[in-house]
Amino acid sequence: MKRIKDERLIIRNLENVRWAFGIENLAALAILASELINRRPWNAILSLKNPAFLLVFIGSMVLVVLSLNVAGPIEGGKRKLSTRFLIMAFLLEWLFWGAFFWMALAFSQMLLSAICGLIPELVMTGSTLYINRFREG
Amino acid sequence: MMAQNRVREIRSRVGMAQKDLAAQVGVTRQTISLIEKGDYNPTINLCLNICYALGYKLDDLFWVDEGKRRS
Repeated sequence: MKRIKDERLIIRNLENVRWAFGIENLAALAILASELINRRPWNAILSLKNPAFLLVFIGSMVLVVLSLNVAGPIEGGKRKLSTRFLIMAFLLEWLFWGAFFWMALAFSQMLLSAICGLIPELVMTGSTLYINRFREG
Repeated sequence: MMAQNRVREIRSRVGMAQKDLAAQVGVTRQTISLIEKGDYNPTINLCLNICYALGYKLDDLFWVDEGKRRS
């Protein structure tokens, strides 16, 4: 395929990709809906082994992470969060996620809960740090 | 907000075909046609390249009507 040089066609191509993404996700959601109607168990539908759910999940996660570079500049007018606040927020949120996993694991495996809680917390802190770069003062 | 332009008028004055202008600025002839009709807002890069190709200043070729400007 020839490389597109015309800026109008590059934009058009990106719009096409956006449409393809939307239709692909709608199709995956339709498959999930049909599985729900056919009374497939919830845990089987919402499992990462289910390709339709995996597709929607990956698409949503990628979109959430990519939307940071849109959310960041919008936050630009607000005051910058201090390092102390960020550390406190990190610890409190880690505690929350750790407790969440601890409960999910029937109040056992504390170390594993702490490690599992660290993963969503690192994503949250990473996004907060990224957005904080755009804040003022 | 669609920018106004005098590309068609200036291009005719210079005696350049749409195809030649398109080739010089690296877009298709259809894009030049859409810009001239006011159906496509080119980026600042393309605007400048069109200006350089026609030998005019940006202000002479592109502008936004006063009522449509963002205050």
